[in-house]
Amino acid sequence: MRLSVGKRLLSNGNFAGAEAVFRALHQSHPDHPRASFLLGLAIHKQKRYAEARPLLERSDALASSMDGDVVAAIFPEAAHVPHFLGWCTYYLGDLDASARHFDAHIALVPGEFDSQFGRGIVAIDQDDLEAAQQHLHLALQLIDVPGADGQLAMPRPKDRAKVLVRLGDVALRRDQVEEARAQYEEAVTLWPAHHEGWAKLARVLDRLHQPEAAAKAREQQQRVLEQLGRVGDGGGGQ
Amino acid sequence: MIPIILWAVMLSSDPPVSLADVTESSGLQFVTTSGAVPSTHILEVKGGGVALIDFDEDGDEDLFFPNGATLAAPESGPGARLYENLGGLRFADATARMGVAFRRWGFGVASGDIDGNGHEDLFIACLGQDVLLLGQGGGRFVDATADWLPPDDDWNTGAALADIDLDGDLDLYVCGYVKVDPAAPLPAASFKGIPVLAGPRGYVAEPDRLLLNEGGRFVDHSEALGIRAGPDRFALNVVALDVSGDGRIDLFVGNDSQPDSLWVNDGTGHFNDRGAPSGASTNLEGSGQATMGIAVGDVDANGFPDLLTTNFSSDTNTLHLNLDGGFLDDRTSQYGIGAPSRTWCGWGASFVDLDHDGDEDLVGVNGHVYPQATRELMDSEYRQPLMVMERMGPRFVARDSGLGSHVDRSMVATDLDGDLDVDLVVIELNGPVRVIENRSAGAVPGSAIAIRLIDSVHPGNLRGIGARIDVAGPDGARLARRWVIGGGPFQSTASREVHVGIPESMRSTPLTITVRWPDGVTQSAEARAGERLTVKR
Repeated sequence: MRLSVGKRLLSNGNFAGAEAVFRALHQSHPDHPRASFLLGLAIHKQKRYAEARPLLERSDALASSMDGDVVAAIFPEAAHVPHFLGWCTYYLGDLDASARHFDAHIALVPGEFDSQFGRGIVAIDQDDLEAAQQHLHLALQLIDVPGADGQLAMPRPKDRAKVLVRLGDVALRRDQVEEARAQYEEAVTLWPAHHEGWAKLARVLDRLHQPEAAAKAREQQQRVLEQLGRVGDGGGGQ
Repeated sequence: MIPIILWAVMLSSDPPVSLADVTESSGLQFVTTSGAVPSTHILEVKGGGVALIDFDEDGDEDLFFPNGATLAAPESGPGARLYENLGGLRFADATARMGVAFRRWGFGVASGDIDGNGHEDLFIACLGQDVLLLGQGGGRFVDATADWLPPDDDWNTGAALADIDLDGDLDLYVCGYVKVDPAAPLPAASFKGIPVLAGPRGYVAEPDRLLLNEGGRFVDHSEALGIRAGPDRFALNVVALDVSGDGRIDLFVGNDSQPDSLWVNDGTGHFNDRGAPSGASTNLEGSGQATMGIAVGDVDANGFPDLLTTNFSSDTNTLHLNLDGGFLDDRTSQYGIGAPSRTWCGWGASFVDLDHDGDEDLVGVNGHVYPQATRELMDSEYRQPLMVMERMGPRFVARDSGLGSHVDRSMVATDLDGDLDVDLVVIELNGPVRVIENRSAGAVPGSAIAIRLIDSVHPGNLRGIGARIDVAGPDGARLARRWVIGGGPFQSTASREVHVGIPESMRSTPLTITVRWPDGVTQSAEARAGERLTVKR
């Protein structure tokens, strides 16, 4: 009962509510890897990464100590714990741990898009541009993997845009400004609500001495931020 | 081309940065006041800065702390402190002896010879009317606020002195923060689900002011010179230097939770905010950050000043590389600065070559604003360590200073004991001021030079604020470029003495020092490692 309530709260975005439910579950089952994971996940979703990390690590350790069949039966999300640890450690600034966790998740679930994406972001922070590009391209390929029926899944423009923006960052870091512009333009065309994409497009357009186009991109960024209720968060200046 | 293995050996054999807290033996026994503990109001969390000022005119830098007050008595705090540098990292309290009696709630402080009488003065940004103390010689100051400053009732924070209109005297930029009533804070806000003190969002921003020195008074020219062109922002810090490379003073303003401003001088004395089109106003993601500290250095050695800003926790400090004077690109990741700073709430910062290996390291202070901050609740502790990031080849690497955790707010980096390495003075919120000695193994005698300027042509800008200094080897290749900036680390006066570590291979050869004075005139001098050079004109 508590499990289904907590999961529903989680999927509805009521993370604090989910945390309360899963905290009770965790208290009653402190050595259950799934209870530890779900509490860690609810806290992770509230961006309290330092608190979430040990719960996710404990979940991972508990699952690792169990027989595989048992884990499969009682903890269906077990393989995805390293994914969330990857993001937790990234946001805590521990890049080595983050890379390790994302790599572990990729090894367990090779078709998982978001860990390839996360691994690419870690590589950018490590200034390993080759690795970043490689992981981001792999992430793009995973978006395009056909389903069992041979058809491509949903187009997933948001995911594709996220990756393209990061590929643009790699190009920009290499001073390939035109290439970066192409990536950013494609990203915001695919997903016009990507405010970071608009901001980055404005940045490269300014660098390419196209101030009017840059100003328009910046206006788009502001429009998206306003729609998100984040007025005054970005842009600025004249 | 250096083989990778050799490069790794060189990096690993580099003597480590080493710092020691020598407060106890320094004689500097002073606990700052900034409201109550724990903080409950935004007024209480910014702390105050420190000015380096040679008030006794003996050639070394003395220290002035404006100090704060409390919500219950914001006009009557325990008072400012003036410390005389006795040499050997020892200080004596000269507050009473020099008749310094400032007791209001001070935040930022800027020092310079504002009235051109040959004695350094102090501008204090306050809650309410700012204050100007004019040096009279012999360490005496007179309060010239009524004569010099326009009336204001704002909460001002950072301030910078520089000859902005190039008429030979020091003008003033003052950061306005938010309109507050000490007795009436806003209702609590929320951070990561935890109720916390509110602000700056929810408050109304105060305007910044650009005051020109018209001889005997500062006159507010903000409107005419373009500073009011955009909306007021939550300004906390400012640096004055030539960012664009055209020889004129520009102003980079750090705003809290909003995009930063880059006021570029168009050559007529008018300023345009080029923050957004230059890329300097936000991080790569296009987000305005909570800029507190600002450090200036030539990280990529291209001759243009790069800007590092320190920011809030769960964000990163941000390094904008100045590519060509017109565009500043966020290269935080490239230099390894982002990840270590995610758990810090950063304040005063400076680029300095601590270990005299010829490149500048990065030092700064940290400490959260929310007393409730713990790693579990906010991914960030209330008390935090110093930021010591050693430049190691292409990246900066975080080092443990071994000096514990504090709730620090500002710092200045300068050679306090005359041994040609850079020491630190650190200001903690409601804590003791600390003196940190540089004991890095590489900082041996004869491994650095210090350069100070005396401008007799423009005695109103005697220390040459706004000047640019190059150090070149015998082949003419530039080893380092530094700027004498106005404003700086956080609500403090950056060192006007420039310090350059000299690589071993250059320590026995003559070096050429080239000064570009604020008026564009260049002047060269020769020096060797181990010298403290004064360039006069």
